[in-house]
Amino acid sequence: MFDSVWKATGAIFSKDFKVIKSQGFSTLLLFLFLLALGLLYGLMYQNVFDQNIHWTPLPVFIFDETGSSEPGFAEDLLSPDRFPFIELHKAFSSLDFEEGLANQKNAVGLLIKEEEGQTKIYWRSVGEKSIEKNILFQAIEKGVEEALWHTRTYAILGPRAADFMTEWEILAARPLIREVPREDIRVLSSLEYYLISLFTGFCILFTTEFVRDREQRLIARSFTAGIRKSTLYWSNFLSNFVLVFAVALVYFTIVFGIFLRIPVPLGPFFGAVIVQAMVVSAFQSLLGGVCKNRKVELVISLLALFTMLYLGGAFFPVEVMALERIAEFMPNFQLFKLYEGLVLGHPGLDATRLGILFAQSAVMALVGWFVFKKSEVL
Amino acid sequence: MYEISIQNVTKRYDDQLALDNVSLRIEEGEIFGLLGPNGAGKTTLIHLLCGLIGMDSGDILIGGRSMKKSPEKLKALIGYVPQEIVLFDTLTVKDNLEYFGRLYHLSGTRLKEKIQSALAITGLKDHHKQKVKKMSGGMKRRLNIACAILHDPKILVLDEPTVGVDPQSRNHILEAIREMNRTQKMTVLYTSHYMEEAEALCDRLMILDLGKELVQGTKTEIIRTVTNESVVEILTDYLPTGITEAFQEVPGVKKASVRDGKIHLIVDSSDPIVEKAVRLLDGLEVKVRNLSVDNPTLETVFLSITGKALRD
Ligand SMILES: Nc1ncnc2c1ncn2[C@@H]1O[C@H](COP(=O)(O)OP(=O)(O)O)[C@@H](O)[C@H]1O
Ligand SMILES: [Mg+2]
Repeated sequence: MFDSVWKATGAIFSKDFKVIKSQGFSTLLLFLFLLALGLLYGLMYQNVFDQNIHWTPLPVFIFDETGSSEPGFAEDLLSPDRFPFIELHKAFSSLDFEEGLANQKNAVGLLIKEEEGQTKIYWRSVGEKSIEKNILFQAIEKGVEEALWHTRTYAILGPRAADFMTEWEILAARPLIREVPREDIRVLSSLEYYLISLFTGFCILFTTEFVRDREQRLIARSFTAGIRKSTLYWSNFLSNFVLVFAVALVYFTIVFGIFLRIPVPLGPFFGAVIVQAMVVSAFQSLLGGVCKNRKVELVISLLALFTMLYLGGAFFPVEVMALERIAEFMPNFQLFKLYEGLVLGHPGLDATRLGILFAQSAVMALVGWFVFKKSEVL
Repeated sequence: MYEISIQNVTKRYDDQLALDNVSLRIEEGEIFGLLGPNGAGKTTLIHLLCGLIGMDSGDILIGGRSMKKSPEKLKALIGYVPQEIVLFDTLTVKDNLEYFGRLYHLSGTRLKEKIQSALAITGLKDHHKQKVKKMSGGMKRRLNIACAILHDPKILVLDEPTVGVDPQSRNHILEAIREMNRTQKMTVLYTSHYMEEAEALCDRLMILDLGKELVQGTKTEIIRTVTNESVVEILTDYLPTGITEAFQEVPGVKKASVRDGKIHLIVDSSDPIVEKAVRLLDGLEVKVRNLSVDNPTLETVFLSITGKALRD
């Protein structure tokens, strides 16, 4: 059994290799495209984060009718530290406030009044809508919410409120805090795209020879040579693995060495690439087992890719989306974390993540093997 | 022994009966023809024999061993040439042969030798470096066969190997089959919907239609089941009086008449009438301008059994 898997793998691998070689120039183009894709995605992501928005100054007039002498809630909220674009004008009378506003082409007025036993904030806008106004409005809304939360907590808990608030703040802050330098975050964000590009490359651009062969009845013909289903399936898996490993090794050497320019420890780097190749070839085997032709393969792999993109954190940081739990199921997220460990200088590869990736690969490959029926290759 | 015994095989696709209780026996070293129009069930029968699909009932034995019980071992005895051209078309002739050879566990010099002899048999020696996608249909068909004979199969199964093939390649293919049958005692199962081809090549035949066996036997046996009459037409320089009566006397002639200025004879197909006819006319000093013998063919048989032409 093992001997025949080995021989069949040899036959299939050398065939796959020749097929890829025979497509020589187009294979090279695809590889370059893969690099470009990763680069493009990475740059896009960085730009979103780096963008230096040119703020237009926004005059904000405040008049607090309630007349409280201490610095009011609104001024606290609108400190220039938080909003560099705000030019705060405190009015001391209603007339002052109205005149101030009337002289502006583009401004916001905040009128704080006491009505029916409630404090109300009135929003007055002069001029066009703008991004600055939008941000300010949202900040005020959020501020009011927070103030209410504070007031209520103190009203209900009384003296115990102070302790509760301290603890609450610690708790609430936890998932949002990431002690990674900003530089690294940028590098890692684009890394996510390199990973996804590799998946894309193998799913769509390189396509699995297995499905192509299946479509052209070459698998059926191979079966008449007396080869067993499991021999054929696992030989294809191994052959894919070798090819993906070679491509991934070159690709990530370029990514780390040229694009990102971060030194990584060699041993764990190889480990990560091997695991990467395992995951991708398991995914390919799953496709090979499930898809009868390349049309179906394209549809399924696109679906899988987009799921991975969304849920694995390539489009949005998973922390923001509060999707970290689901992301754990996405192989690209796990691989990303593996490479992240390398970049952040963790010793070795994270055993839990390795375990999860092994399990995911095993599930994919076994499902493919189970679904793949000898009687369905004609 | 590698005789093939197909026993009461039935195969359905959903509600369609593709093979209905078909039985046949192919002796070792025989060239057996499976004939029938499209959709008759030829390919289905071959898929069953090659273990690509399972049967609903019945069994197939090769050398007494059941295909159901040891399919992997038996498959290695068979060389299967699929109806379609199933090849890696971005690869060269040699690469294709190498792949299939290695699947049959050939390697090293043995693989090289086998590739050389397969190329020689199919006449592709000068093309081994050519890419499949750049070859003509006929060449691809030949390579399709070459890939199936690398492992010296005891049984060669060919599913319509001459469809869409130029006459040169067709002759080459038929000649190669005869050659392998003669020199290697290879048992051959050949399917076609070209009657003439099958008639010329096969020792015994079976005609299949809509999944059912119509007739089985040697060509003569099969034709006998329908008719044993041939038509002979002779065009002469003139027609002497009493010519029909004279022919009526010749043994083997069942009926003689004159039609469209030609002598029209209905004769016993097993009787070689031509020589006698020519001698008779010679005696009467009549010159023969043209003579045609219309023997009944498998086409005639099929037409008379099913009432439809084969190539419908
Ligand atoms: N995979 C299949 N699914 C459903 N019907 C099939 C399938 N293969 C063949 N058939 C049907 O079985 C019958 C026999 O087909 P086939 O064996 O291909 O005939 P032939 O080779 O003589 O042309 C046809 O009516 C065909 O439509
Ligand atoms: Mg057919």
